[in-house]
Amino acid sequence: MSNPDYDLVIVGGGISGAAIAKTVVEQSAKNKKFPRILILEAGRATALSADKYDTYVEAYHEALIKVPNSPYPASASAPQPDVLDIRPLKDAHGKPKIGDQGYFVQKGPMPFGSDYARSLGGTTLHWLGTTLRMLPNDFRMNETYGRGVDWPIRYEDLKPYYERAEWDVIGVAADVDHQYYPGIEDDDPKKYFRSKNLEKFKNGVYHFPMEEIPSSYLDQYLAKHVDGMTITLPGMDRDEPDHEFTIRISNTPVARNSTPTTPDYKVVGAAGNADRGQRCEGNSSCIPICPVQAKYNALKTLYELIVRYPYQLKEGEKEGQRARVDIRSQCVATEVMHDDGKVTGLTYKTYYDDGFKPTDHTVTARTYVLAANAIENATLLLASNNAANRSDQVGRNLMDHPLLLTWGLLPENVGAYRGPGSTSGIPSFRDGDFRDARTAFRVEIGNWGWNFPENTPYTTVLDLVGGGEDGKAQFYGKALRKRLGEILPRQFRIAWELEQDPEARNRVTIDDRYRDALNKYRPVIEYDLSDYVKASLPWAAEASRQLFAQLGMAEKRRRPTYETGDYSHYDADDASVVQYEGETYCVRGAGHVVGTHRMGDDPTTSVVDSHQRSHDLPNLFIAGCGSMPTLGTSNPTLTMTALALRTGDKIAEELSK
Amino acid sequence: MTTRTPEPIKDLTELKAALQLAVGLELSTIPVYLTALYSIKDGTNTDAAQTIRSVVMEEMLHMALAANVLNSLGERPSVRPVTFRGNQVSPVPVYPYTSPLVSGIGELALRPLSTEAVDSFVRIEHPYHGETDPAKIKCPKGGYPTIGMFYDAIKAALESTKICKDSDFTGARQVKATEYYGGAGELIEVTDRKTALAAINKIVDQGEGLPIERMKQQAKTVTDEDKLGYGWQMYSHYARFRELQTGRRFRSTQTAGETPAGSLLLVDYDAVQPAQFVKLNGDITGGPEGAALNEFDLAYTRLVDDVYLAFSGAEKKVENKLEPSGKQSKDPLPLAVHGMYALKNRAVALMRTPIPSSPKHTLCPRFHYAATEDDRKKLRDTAQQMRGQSR
Repeated sequence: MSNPDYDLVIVGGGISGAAIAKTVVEQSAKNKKFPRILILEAGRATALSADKYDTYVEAYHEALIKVPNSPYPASASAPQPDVLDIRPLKDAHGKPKIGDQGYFVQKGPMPFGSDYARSLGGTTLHWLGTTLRMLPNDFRMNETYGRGVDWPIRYEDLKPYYERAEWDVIGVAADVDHQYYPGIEDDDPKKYFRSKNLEKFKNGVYHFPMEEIPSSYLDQYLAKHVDGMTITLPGMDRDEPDHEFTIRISNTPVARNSTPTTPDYKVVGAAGNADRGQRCEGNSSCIPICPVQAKYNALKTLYELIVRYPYQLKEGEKEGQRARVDIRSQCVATEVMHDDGKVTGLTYKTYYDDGFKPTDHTVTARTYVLAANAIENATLLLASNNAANRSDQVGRNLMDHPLLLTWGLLPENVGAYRGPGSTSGIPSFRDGDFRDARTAFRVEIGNWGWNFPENTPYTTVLDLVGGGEDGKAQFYGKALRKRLGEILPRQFRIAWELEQDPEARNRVTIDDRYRDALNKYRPVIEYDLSDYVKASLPWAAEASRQLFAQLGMAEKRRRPTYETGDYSHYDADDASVVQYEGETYCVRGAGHVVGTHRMGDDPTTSVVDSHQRSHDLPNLFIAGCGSMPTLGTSNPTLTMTALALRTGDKIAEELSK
Repeated sequence: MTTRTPEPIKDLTELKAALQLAVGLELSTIPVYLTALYSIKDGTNTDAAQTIRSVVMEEMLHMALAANVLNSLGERPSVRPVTFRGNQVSPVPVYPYTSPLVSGIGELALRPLSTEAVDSFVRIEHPYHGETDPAKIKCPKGGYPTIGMFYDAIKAALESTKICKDSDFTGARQVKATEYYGGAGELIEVTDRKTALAAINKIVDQGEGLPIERMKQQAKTVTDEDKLGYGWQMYSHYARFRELQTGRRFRSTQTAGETPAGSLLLVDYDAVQPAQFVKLNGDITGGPEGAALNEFDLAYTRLVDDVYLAFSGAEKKVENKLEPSGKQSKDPLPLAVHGMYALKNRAVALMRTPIPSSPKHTLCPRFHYAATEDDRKKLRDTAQQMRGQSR
């Protein structure tokens, strides 16, 4: 192909695509190369203008059930999964049943419990913004614990990219000294974060671009009551001794604007409205939407690109003097065309809101990047005549962080429902020799009462107003407000986020019977938890019991009564029920969609190499959380961004040749 | 009658007093703009709201800049009345407010967004406050006809080595650039004469005190310092309010003195809460409505105190049950930021509440700063009484 339309075409206008585009532009400029880049986004670009973003905020305000996708309008042409579509995958007789009422076609045996947003900006529109790095052992699970697979790169390889992701793309607020992680050198966060960039960080002493978001009052309350306590968890059998864990409340690094640690760092406000969102305001709706965009979303990076490098040349500008970035929304990629070991073009459909029929297009480039959600990347490859799939790993090893929620009513007002969704966690269970037998987990402390497990505060209002059989309201007016004031601020919940191991049977496939309005394949999902994951459920539940007891919440309670105690319970008829060793648990999805095109050195067992380049089609990069061979216990967006930067460097190097 | 002319500042004491009043002058316009901003109904008048909001944020920046200059000269910003050329002047205004210092501004009144309100904004920000010739503005005794002349006098004093020596600039108690945010540009830390002048120039350049020559320059002229991230640019307050007043944007080729002739900027004056200002003790609003007005004033009082406490470099003791003493020392600046959000919520709630005796109108925040502990106690006590009243 002599004259491609673009130097680089990226499918997906989320954080991975945005970070790759930005990196390619900036790194190429160092070699005086100025690429033309096209970003294709399946969803709408509504949110890129500040006043239209406000229509999303209004949609959130008006939604009766505030799930992650509630502010973001779905489209039949680019449908998206919604957690409200999750149903039990069994019929009335207990026989398996396919769940196809939503966008996903769920074949089970468990429903895949997470969603993502198909909209410009992607799922960063509704992520919580947790930006933990992975731990060193997370990259070598097989070598250290004989589980899962090893990454082709190690923590030290990715470290410089983590730093750039934290500074140049996302903007992370955290304090190195308050990161108490297991499995790091000498248990010393300073060593774990030590930088090789001595120019920027004197003596390698790393610091984040912004000061930590202050720990919530709840975090401080917990620190006072449980910091230093020992939790003892039983071994599986007599051969395995008990395991002891020391609890330490650790402030969590987040993609949330706060005070810069140095005047050189420029805080990035809302896309298109730079004077908004320069600090977190504590609006307490990070999920599903930060109304001021103090939380990072990929729109910020995309906005920077189109303002600095507009595709349209201005009067007097000549081609080849600066980079040019073109973003086209409502363009759904339909096929990666490939021939003779390389990609030859990409087809996509553009849909319109004014009644015109969708139109078909083909675009060519020197290099192609798939940077959609892991499930979308896999679906597209499978629909492209099984592209890049010599390993038969495309779509396989689908992972998430299954969450076990536990919740209770504390004896005192801890100020629930204030501030960001989470400001601290308990990292004690993120690594240890127990990982040979059961999965590691991270503990996220939730600041928003019981909204996740019980849809409070709304249900608490209903409980108190009551009605009961006699139809009489119990509380109303001032008495209702007073009682709510006594209950809601004491509500407390923890999410025990379990690492899921890669399994070939957990997979995305396509099926001719299931297509969307544009005739594109819908993802067909088979999903389950391994015994390795399930073995941590009783551990998490037991750790929760010990923690709750220490906090005075040992007594088992249930709504609609409200007394100090443990309200955790799991219903057998829940869609996401898990039975393990005679106990019933429910797990929720964390929105961490990972692993459908894993990276590795061996082309027969992995889809991409460590630069996220397809083993089979060298001019194709398949980027995003899908490349992660294992998940660890950190929320994957930061790692995905670090990988995107590494990929961006590689593409820039090649385009500069 | 002889025409009075503005006097230059004669010594360091007078300069410090003038800077105390400059901090207050910047504060005094904020409630005027906020009342209009918060009266806009949710989801309407996006452009008007953005314009007013951007100006408010710059006034906040200016207040901090003036405080940094004052602090650098070794004087703590204070809400206490200042003796300036024999007059006792309170830096914090009571509305409606006629500045004894700068006569050209006229009366500062708290109004919801309306054509009158926008007219007054334009007048405040015009170099000669709407007059063609500053000589037509009567100079008050010991004061200045225009804000521009007031700042000119401050600049002249800061430039004079007779009035302030190099060693007078201590760089004490600076609000840091990293602590100021929300657009509007960067806060300058004042460590010497040069940075002091830069700080005052920044105030003048963005807002009030704009030199008349600027009316002949392109309306959308911005200095480098006003270029925010992503090429976001802020031109003068005057030009921004002129756009609201005329309902059109300036064309990039027009000068600030011309009438904007660019694209339409629609302002819907009906999508505004019909708030009506009634001054403290000037009404018969009791009950929960009266209590809410008092509580707003108390919240505003606390906010102003926190801001000044932050400027004076002090910490604030706040309650924290988790501390053994039950108290914790905190930087008052972030507390003040909390106070700003709380104030907005209260203002919006007031402006949605009908006045019982005049239901076509809604309550209007008074922004009444209760200066003494007695005043505060009275506001608290009457609020409590009124809360208990029922109708």
